Amino acid sequence: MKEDQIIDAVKNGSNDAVKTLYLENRTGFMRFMVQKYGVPNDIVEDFYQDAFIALVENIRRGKLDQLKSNISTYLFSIGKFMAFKHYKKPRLMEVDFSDLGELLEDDSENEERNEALIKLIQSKLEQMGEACKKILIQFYYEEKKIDQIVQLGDYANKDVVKSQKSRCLSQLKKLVYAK
Amino acid sequence: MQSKEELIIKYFSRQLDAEEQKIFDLWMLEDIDFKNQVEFEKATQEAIKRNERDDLKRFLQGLDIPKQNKTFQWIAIAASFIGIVLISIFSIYYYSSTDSSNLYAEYFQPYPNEVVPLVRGQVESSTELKAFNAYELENYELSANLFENIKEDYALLYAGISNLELNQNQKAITQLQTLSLQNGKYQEPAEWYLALAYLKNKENKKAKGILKLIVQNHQQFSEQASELLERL
Repeated sequence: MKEDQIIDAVKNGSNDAVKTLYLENRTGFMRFMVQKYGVPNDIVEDFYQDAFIALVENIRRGKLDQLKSNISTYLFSIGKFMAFKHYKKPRLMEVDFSDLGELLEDDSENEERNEALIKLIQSKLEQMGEACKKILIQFYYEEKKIDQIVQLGDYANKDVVKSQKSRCLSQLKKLVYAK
Repeated sequence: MQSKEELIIKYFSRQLDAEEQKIFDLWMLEDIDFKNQVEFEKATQEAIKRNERDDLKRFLQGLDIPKQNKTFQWIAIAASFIGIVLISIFSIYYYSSTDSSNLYAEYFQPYPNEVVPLVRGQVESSTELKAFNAYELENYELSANLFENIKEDYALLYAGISNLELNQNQKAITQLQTLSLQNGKYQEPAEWYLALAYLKNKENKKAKGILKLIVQNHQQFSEQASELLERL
């Protein structure tokens, strides 16, 4: 399979493509991180998983659509960045690429309330129907624009996408605030 | 003027232009419902991200080859450990019963007659000569009997060995033990045959004790003794 085909397959939610990509790059990445950046053996596996998750997220967000280098080079550059972050910030698992550039909340009280809300939403999302989950994932996680969601073919036009998203969000709110 | 909903969609799609961003910021400050809605959607975005990451992580851990290998390694280590234990138990049982007599047979050779050289056809006049003659002809009943009547150090050695051949183990042990406690020319062979006698009598612990002594002190039997010790 060519790299752009793999990227497409991952974007379309193929577990096989994710698996292939994961196994193909694993040894090379881990060796690279251990030899070049001195990442200890016992954490290099976690390192790889985090880097790989970041890779898959970026693929799903369409950031690799115009990739000039190959996937492994891209993955290695994530690894390099993680190694850099790791030695600045001891807790590896805290490294979060998507947070880069995001504004940090100053109000710790506010943050705490959000943390509780996030956990509640996480569990309530599981109770939602597949169609709702899918559109929320597409919009909030894959960061697809409304017209991109239309192009994927589940909805006739932008207005239908908007009203469906709005309906799903209200449904989620009801679940979250139900007594 | 765009609807508030439209503005929020653009915010999450990263499509707000400078003018729209200003309006967005203003409403965030002035409209509590607007702010709450944005906060809820932000929390939703974070919740979905965490769920998706958790799902992917679980999936990856499911295919994680080295972790499976680690499990297999542990199984292998556990299996070989159990194997070693079983082999040890088996060996202890085996050597303490069947094989100690096999080892005895392998290592036992009657000690040569170093005392009275016999000449073929020589008339056996003395008890000494008769005893050695019987010993060399492997008539151990007679040799044991005759040696026991000779009051010399060497006689205890040959009597002991004759008794071993006759399966009179306890008797042999007593004779060899007596001799092994005396300093002299026959102490070394007495200890060696005592070790073999213990082995034959399935007293492996005692045999080992003597063998260790032999390995440390002997000139004559140390090589055989250390070899035998390794096999015990």
